[in-house]
Amino acid sequence: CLCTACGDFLDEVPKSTVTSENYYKTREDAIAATDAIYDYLISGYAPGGLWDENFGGLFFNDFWELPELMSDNMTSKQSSVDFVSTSNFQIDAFNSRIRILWRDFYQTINACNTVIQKVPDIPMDEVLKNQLVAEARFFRALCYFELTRFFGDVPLHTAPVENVSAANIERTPTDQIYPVVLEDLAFAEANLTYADRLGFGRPYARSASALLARVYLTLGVKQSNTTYLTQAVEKADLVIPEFPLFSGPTGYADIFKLSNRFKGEHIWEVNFNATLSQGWKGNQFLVRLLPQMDTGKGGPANGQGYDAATAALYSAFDPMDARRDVTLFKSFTYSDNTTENFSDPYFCKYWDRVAEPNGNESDATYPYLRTAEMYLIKAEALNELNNGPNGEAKAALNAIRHRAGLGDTPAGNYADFKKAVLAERRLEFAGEGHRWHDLVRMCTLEELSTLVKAAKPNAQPKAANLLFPIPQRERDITNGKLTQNEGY
Amino acid sequence: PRVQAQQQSYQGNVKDTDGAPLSGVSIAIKETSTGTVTDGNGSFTIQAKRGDYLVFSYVGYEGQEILLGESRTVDVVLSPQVNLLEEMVVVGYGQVRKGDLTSAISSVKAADLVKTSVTSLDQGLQGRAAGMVVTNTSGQPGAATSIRIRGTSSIMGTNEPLYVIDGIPVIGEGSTSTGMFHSPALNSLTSINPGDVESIEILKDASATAIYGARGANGVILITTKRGSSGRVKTSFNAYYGLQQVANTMNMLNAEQLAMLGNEAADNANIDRKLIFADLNNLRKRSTDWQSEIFRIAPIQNYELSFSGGNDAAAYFLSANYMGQDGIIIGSDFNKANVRLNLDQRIGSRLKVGTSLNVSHSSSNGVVTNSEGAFASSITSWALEMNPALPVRQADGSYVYENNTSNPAVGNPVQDANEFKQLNKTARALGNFYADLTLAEGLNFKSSVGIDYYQVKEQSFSSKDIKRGESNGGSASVGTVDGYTWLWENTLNYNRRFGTQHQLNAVAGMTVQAFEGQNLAVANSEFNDGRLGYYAIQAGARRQITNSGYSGWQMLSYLARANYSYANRYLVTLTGRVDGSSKFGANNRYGFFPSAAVAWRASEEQFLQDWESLSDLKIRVGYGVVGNEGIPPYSSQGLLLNMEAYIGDSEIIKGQAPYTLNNKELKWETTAQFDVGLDVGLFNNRYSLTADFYIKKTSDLLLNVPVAFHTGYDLAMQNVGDMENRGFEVALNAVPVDGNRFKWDANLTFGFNRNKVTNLVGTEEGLIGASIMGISNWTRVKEGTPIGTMYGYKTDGIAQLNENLGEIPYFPGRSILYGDRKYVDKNGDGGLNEADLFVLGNANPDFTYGWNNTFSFNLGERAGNIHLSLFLQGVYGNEIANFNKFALESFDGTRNNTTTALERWTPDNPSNRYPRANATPMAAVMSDHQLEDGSYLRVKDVTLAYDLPNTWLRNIRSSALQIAVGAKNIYTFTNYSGFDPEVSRFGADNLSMGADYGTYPMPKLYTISLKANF
Repeated sequence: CLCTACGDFLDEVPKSTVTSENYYKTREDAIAATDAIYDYLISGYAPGGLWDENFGGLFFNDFWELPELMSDNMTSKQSSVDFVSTSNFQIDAFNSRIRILWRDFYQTINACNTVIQKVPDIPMDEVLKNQLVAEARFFRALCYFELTRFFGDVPLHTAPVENVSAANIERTPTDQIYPVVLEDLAFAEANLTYADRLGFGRPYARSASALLARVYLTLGVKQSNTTYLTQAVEKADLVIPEFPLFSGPTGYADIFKLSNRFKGEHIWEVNFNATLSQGWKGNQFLVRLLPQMDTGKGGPANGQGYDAATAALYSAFDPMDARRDVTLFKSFTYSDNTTENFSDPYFCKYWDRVAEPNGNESDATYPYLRTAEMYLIKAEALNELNNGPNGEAKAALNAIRHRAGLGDTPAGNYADFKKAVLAERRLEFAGEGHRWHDLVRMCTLEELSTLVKAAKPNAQPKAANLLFPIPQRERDITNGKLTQNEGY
Repeated sequence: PRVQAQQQSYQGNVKDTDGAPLSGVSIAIKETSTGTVTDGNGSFTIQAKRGDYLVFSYVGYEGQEILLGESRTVDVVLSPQVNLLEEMVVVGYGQVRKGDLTSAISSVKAADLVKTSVTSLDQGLQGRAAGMVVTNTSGQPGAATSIRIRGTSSIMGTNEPLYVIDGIPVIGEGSTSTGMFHSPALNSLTSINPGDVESIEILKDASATAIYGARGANGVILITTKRGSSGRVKTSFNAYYGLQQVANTMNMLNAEQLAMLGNEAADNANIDRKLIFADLNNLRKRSTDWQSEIFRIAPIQNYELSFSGGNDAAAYFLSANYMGQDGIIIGSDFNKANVRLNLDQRIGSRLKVGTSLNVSHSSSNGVVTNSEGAFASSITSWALEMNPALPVRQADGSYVYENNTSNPAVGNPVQDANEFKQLNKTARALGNFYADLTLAEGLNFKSSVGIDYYQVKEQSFSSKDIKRGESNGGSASVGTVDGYTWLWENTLNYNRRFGTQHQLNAVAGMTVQAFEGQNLAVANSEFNDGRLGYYAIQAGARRQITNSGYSGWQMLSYLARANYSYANRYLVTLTGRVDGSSKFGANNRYGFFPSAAVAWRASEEQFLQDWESLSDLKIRVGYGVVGNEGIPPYSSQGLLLNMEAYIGDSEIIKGQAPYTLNNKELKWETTAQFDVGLDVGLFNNRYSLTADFYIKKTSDLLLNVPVAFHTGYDLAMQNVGDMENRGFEVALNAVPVDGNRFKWDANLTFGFNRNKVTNLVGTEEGLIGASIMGISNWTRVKEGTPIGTMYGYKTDGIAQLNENLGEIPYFPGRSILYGDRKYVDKNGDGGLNEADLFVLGNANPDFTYGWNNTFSFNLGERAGNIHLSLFLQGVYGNEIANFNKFALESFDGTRNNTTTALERWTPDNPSNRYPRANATPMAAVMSDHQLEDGSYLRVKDVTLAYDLPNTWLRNIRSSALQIAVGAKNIYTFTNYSGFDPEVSRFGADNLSMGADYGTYPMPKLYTISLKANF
């Protein structure tokens, strides 16, 4: 009879997808929930596929590109208002790239929160269980720390969102976010111990230490907190011996060789992989950064030249600096020995010409944390702690300079040394997404303006530009529940 | 002396309009008592004199008088008496007399449906029913239409009406795409041959659609196919052959003009001139018209053959149909065939069983249109953007590969049309079986089982040697979807008259329906050897897609309706349906959809009996609540997404992450509709008018509501928001001239609808439509505005030399120069951003109309009849977002432009409408320059038909034979600058209505046709 069957008949069973209600029960579920986070880092969820404006995960482009554009390092060659306005320090709350960056952070956070909440209840090997939670907490800490650097106060979710009413919260002051970041990283540092899941794109315990060094430095400088600054040095010292710098005359170039992925000074990288994904989930460094060249004569394919380096960045390098020609190029010699000169210098540091002569989608990793930063964190923190560079601070800075083929730093007092560290960071990390954060941390608005205008006369940095605006979409949808940063 | 005419013998034959002989027709000599009747073969013999009139009369048929002349043979065709009010109208789960209708239903006659040589029957409905807007979204052969009955009542759910074919609610459009096709969706109704259709009823108000409950909110289209009847075998053969041609082409620059534009653009941008634009003298000699290279005159042909007949116990209708159509763009076509068998058999006196079976197959080659993006761009855009200085082929016969002006590059459209392979094959079987048992007088039990099965395969291949295959070394894809729905319905019908004044007609029943569908897709790229194409997808070196999926839903429903009439004057209808649907949240599985309607036939009242010219006057009032459950299955569940990432150099890891929120409260959209209608008939219904006014209020809109990104989600499916449609519609039928020699039939339909989104809880910024060319803010659905509202900047002329550039508001990070387009700074803050967008228009027309005229000339017994029909159809007051203009008026020298470029701003020609040439322009923004009036009046169809005289027909034993010539879409009055104002880049997408980009233009068509009955 139909009626007895009614209850069952209308039950809905999605056979080709799993649902949140019947998942998170087994060890395999726990692993899959954690592994999903890694996709959010590279390509993420884009229902419209390749042409979805949301295509690309957290580290795909905006994360490293916007802080370079909004600085004296990089300039946009695109016609899009979103990029041009970032390059000229005229961003507004409608900027779609900023909106998408914000979205990518929170999608990743929700995937982390799901693991952090669901996995502890699953009966399984405790070491593995703690490892999985530690991975999720590493990435949650990363996201919240970076969010505060980009946006200041942001909404804080520490549990997975299961109902739209969760949208109904206000911005949490950064002071209440930092404890979550520090606690997460401490947990990660203690529990990233499951040998089969360390490295090769997953964080090590020392990756958490290194991120802690970055967080402590940022908080220490911002709050003039000597405890944090001391901890920054301690964490950097823990990391340095385990991830030795690539050395020798080609040391700097070696960092970006594809054969050196996950080796040497790479403390944690984002594993973009064009090969394993058959082209779908490689990174876009080459597409965005290499200029258009003649493929008929051996030039790399699909170079769009969306971003160029500023002339100021190029000339900031000492001609003897081994990093200059690794980082930038102004011309290219084709297979027929003709040379094309570009109108601007372009970034070529991510292009391993031997391994990927054809360019396009690339296997290059995004170097989120590498040891050179630990040296420079140490140098900066010690200068702050001692109101001037001690021998250890100088040694740390000089270690980076020596590798680049440069001599000892001439800077001897607090102010000069601070400038020297800022300048060194610029050259060492050009194109890696540090510059705007460095300028904001280490400069006054006047200093920042002077530096930026020297590279981009048309740029108009304002006090507001020390933070990004909260995306207008978020404010509209929440009926203004989220306040706007001042000046936007 | 007066010559007395001699009595002589006249003989002849009487048939009905279908050619069946009529027996028992009485024939009398006028003003005498002499007469006879026809025999079983319809034949008669009578003694009469020349100059006498023979009067033919037969119950149910129009009488006829014939003047006897020289000929001794008198063949007569009697037409059935048209008493509109006695006609039966099909309604959900039954039929009612037209005079007893209490609800708003439009009927479309089968003859009108096939008049305009349509590929699918929904196209034939355009302009035929008041309150229904049919839009052809593409001119691609076999492309889908978008239909709106009484406006748009859903935002995220479907707005297409429910189609019920011979009682089976069929599977709609959405589920028949594999996603592997870069052409507009094909029309799933092509599986039904329009020539097989007996009648189409369009149920519009809630009183009519409530019997379809949760699927009734968008209106219901009931399609009834032809069935056999007892009598002689009727054979019918129809054919047409036609030629199609593009109706309109764009005026493009020639090679020299483009070169001059390109040079000026480079100069204005301070960059080097392009070498290809250097030699103007040579360019002057070259001119490829790329439009004429891709457009062609294309044939279309259609043949159908049917037989019907039966005896007292059994009846059959059997038909076969083939249609072949080449597209007006080279490389595109559509071919279909279908076979139908409808059978009815009586078993004993109480039981009747029967079946309706339709099997169809279509195959269609497509070219890429309605599409943009690097390797998906539309072939029509390519044809417009190609440099006219380039030839189609090089001197050695090989194709020119790509445009030499642009980036991202445009490929050779001719090569693409010929070499890019895209094939859709669709098979569909639709069948039902019924048994109808008479339990007692007036009480019937009917049980029916129906099946609708389809399989679609879509495959495409681009070799690495054509532009479209360049970036991935050639690519191939194959996708299939199949779906199957079954339906079991059991109904009890009770139809009885009590005494003389009370009539009751009631139905009650239950239905169960379930759907299961699966899809499979594979794609590959890097094909070194392209010879095997999509037939050997394993030849590619690089896996791109391997996907399979499943979806299913179930419905369980109970329905009841009662029509009661008292004294033929006072009519009441009560309807209710309970629908349970698996698509909804566990807490909201069942919904109840009631309606009530009353009608008063004032013309039956005593006090109006003296008004002889009034044949019908009825006032109807109805109210009801119906639903819309047209959302994808699993929308109420929290689904996890399959994800993939990489560890080291060799490990692929698979993850699962939440991507939709669980919502156990999710339910159907609810539409409450009030309708008041008036039916008036005058002079024995020679003039009749039906007018309806309605208010539709939809609440609990199913919305994929944008949620704050900080939740980790983009969207959440919720029942929020309200929308309202108010409208007015009129259908007018008239026979202004009704003579023996000449008759003029006219009918006019008019529909007016106003939509407003009255509430969009929690979606302050509104819902954004699809983006083209990076522009996503051109349309959005916002509270307080109609759906389809279009936004953009208001242009403010062009920056002229006497202006101060520093004072002109402009976009952040951008500076304006002389000759650039200015925009209005709405909020006066000195800059331009999204806060300065204006409401610029709406994609929905203010009103739509259709006007059909048929002029019939009776040339007499020996000369036959001529019919001239003229059908006009139009819409008024809608806007179109013409995205083509961004490319065709780019003025940047990277692609060919329309001749508007000749009016561009220069210091010597200070245009205030067109900007300067500039090789490095700003990214495009939508403005009132791209938004155009989409109103049109189309001469949809002109047909001249000739009925051969009976004297001829007898020789070939035919009962009717008509030859006709016709022209379709022959002229369109419009101010729209694109190919055609009837367009929708995003098909039936509610959030992105009224866009035009890279469309497949509508053809005009000339046909010659033959209809023969035997």
